[in-house]
Amino acid sequence: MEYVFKAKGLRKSYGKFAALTDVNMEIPRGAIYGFVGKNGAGKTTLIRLMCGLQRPSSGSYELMGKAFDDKDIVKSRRRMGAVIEEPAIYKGMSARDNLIQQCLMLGIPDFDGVDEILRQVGLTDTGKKKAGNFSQGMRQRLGIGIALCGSPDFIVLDEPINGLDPQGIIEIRELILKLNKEHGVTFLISSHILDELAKIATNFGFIDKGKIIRQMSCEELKSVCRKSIRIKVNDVGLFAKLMEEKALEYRIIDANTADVYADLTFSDIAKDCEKTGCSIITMDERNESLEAFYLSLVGGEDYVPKSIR
Amino acid sequence: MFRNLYADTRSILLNRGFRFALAAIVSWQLLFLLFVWLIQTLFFKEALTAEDVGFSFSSVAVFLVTGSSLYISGDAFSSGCIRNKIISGARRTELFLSAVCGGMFQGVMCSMLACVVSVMVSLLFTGGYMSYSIPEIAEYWIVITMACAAIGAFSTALVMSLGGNQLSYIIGFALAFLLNVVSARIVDKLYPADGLCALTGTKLAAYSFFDRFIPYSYFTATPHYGMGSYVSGCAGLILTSLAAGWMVFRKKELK
Repeated sequence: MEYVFKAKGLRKSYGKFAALTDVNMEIPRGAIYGFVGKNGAGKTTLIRLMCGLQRPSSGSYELMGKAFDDKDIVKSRRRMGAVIEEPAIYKGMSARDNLIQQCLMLGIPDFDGVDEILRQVGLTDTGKKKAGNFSQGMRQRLGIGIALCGSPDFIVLDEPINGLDPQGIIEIRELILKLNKEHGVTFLISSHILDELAKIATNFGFIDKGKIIRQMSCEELKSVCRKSIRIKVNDVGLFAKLMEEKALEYRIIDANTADVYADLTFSDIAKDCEKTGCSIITMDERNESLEAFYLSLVGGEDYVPKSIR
Repeated sequence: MFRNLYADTRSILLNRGFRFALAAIVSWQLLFLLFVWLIQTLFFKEALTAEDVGFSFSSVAVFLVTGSSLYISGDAFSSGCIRNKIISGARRTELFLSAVCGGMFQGVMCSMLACVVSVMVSLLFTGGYMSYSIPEIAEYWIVITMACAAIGAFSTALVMSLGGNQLSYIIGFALAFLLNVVSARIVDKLYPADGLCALTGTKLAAYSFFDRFIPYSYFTATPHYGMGSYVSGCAGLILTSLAAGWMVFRKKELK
């Protein structure tokens, strides 16, 4: 398999604090790599190393086949775009001027693609409005637009849907999927919004305390996680007893709610509950697999279904 | 390198801080003209000469050029544009050189605009230069332009080395203020209004060196050394800024 990014034993320390320790990570070409971790887990540090903003303390990485200490790595970087934390925009320029500025910086001789990018990120009607007066969501879109200049092969997005409204989230999601499917652009997306990530990512990397604790494909994730049925009852203790008797996997959410990891029919479970004196208030199917799996990996033990412990 | 330079030049021309500095230069010279004209007309009943108003840029040049270059490069850092250039494959050396050249460019632009406004003001509102010849005035503006370029380079290198944080603004302005005060004091000691210079030995050598080779002092008096001294002084500050700034910036960990 071809990888756009490959890290081997990567370590980054700030004084005595080790932000990354022995990171091994591979991002396959053409993937949408969901990068998941808590605040302070090391996501942004790894992205900074990847983008050449900082140098690793030890270990190495390759970006599109070029080692990080190879002089030609700048050629690989010209084929990538990134939005890290705050979008990098000139606040005194309009959206169009910002894109032209990036084109000039990349040495793109004509600006024909600028209007298309503005359309893709939904900023066509901003006219001469200065980027400094944009809302957070518009700045985020412009940041993504800048990352798209020069048709990159690899795009790094750190929290790309921060500040976007629901419509904006859908548009950005569709844009990512379109660029990935039609142009084969590889994405690394770090996000806290796991549900959103689960909708688009083809691969996942989980980082905790500076270490990559698991990498897996979407298919692998699906095979480890299952759908659950969330049941609200009047007495969760009685319900737990019933689940134990029937040897079904479950977890308690609160005094009235539990998740069951099994195929249940409402009438059967309702009958069983009635026998034990427990009443069902509501019952619905849920799919929180990525969230649950993530918690199981990073030690949210109390909140983890038995099935994936 | 050249595409960086081209992109940086464009961003400077579109920068609010730079435009504000240009507007401030024009406003300052016009307000100074009005102020001097009122004093001359109301109190001294004398005609205005070009000397009275033609060199007014010198008194604000250090602060305007320092402020403008600190704002431009500080803004590029704080908005993430420097970071974005590295991500997009710009080499740090090229990026740094281009930024310093940008700083010099804006210094030159400020000085050239001041020169144009000064000439226009002198031609339209005064009786002309009485005690300076055209070559002397040309030499003055060349020295001022070189000094502005050197200060622009130094301020930009300072921001780049400090990673665009607030400290660079404080250090930049504090240095500009300090060197301006020191320059005035040195000129006062070297060329006293009454009598001869009383300095001797090391102190005289140090004061003369500062007066001759430190561009911040070029704004305090009209040129009184050979052009070689001024070129050396400006080139020295530019090269020192380039060397020191590059050594720090190439290893700098950016956020």
